[in-house]
Amino acid sequence: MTCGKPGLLEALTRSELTATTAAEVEAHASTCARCRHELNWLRTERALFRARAGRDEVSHLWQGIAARTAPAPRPWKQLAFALAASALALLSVQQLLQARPTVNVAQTAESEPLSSEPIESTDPTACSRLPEGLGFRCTMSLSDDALASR
Amino acid sequence: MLRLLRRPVAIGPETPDEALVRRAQAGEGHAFQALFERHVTSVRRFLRDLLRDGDAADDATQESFARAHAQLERLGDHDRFKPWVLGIARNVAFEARRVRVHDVLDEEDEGVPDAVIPGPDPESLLLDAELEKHFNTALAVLSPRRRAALLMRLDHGLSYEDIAASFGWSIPTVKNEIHRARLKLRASLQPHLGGRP
Ligand SMILES: [Zn+2]
Repeated sequence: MTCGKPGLLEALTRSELTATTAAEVEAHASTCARCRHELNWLRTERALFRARAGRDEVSHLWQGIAARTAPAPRPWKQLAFALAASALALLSVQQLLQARPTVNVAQTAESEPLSSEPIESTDPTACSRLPEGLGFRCTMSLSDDALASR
Repeated sequence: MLRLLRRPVAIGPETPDEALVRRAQAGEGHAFQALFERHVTSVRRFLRDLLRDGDAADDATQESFARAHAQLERLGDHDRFKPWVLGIARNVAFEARRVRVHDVLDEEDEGVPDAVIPGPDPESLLLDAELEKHFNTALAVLSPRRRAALLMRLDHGLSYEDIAASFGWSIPTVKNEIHRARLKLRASLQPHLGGRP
């Protein structure tokens, strides 16, 4: 029964099966050399990974993160964003009028489109902080909004 | 205004990630710290395995959580914090090593053993420092992306679906990559396990 379903053996080692199914899989593996061989490897891998887990010293790491994640006073943050947005919009309008009348103001921050679902942000710096490879396409909608309100 | 007067709900080990993410998104610093404390060991170990350097792993762990904090409002799947932060950590590590996440995997078709690797006996396994050293070396010889995928699954318990979403791979590709990584890991480990055929 499990020979064609290696996922069942892995689920057994991860304790993801019901008691009945687990007993069936165990019983099969005890009589099937191929499944027993695979099960032995899966259990060995699990034991090796478990033996290393939780041993790292991490208590000193929060201080560095706390300093970088301290909340900024909200009204000032919003004001700063509004100012930044206005500056961005002004720059964009200036560029539009001067040189490139056909340029689309909404820009994609990442060069490669990674997902069909763009993420809209009201944070003008957020796009630049988004790392590659998360499956996100970051679109700054702010310049558009700022333009529309003018 | 009412929210300011409301007494914050205590955070405990039983508070699900989903609730912590929602509260952190609402600006509760303690909720983000709880997420950090819950996942930092995993993230740090993942980064040490990818970077093979304790100090670099410390720096990358701090960078990963700082980015997670900055981008938390983008996390729509509130119960997906762990795969999400491990994806961020993977990107931080790859940036440091200049590995591109989405590159094709062709060049990584490094010698995968096709013969059956003799099995170990988990009952008589001696988990000592010597074996752990061999284990870490066996992990280190895997190519970065394959190692990251294998670790996400075997060490950090992510689902194939989460790994596929994180890498932008299909699920069959994830399964294939992890299978190949596993065979290579076993072949490297086997001489040190005292296994029997
Ligand atoms: Zn079988």
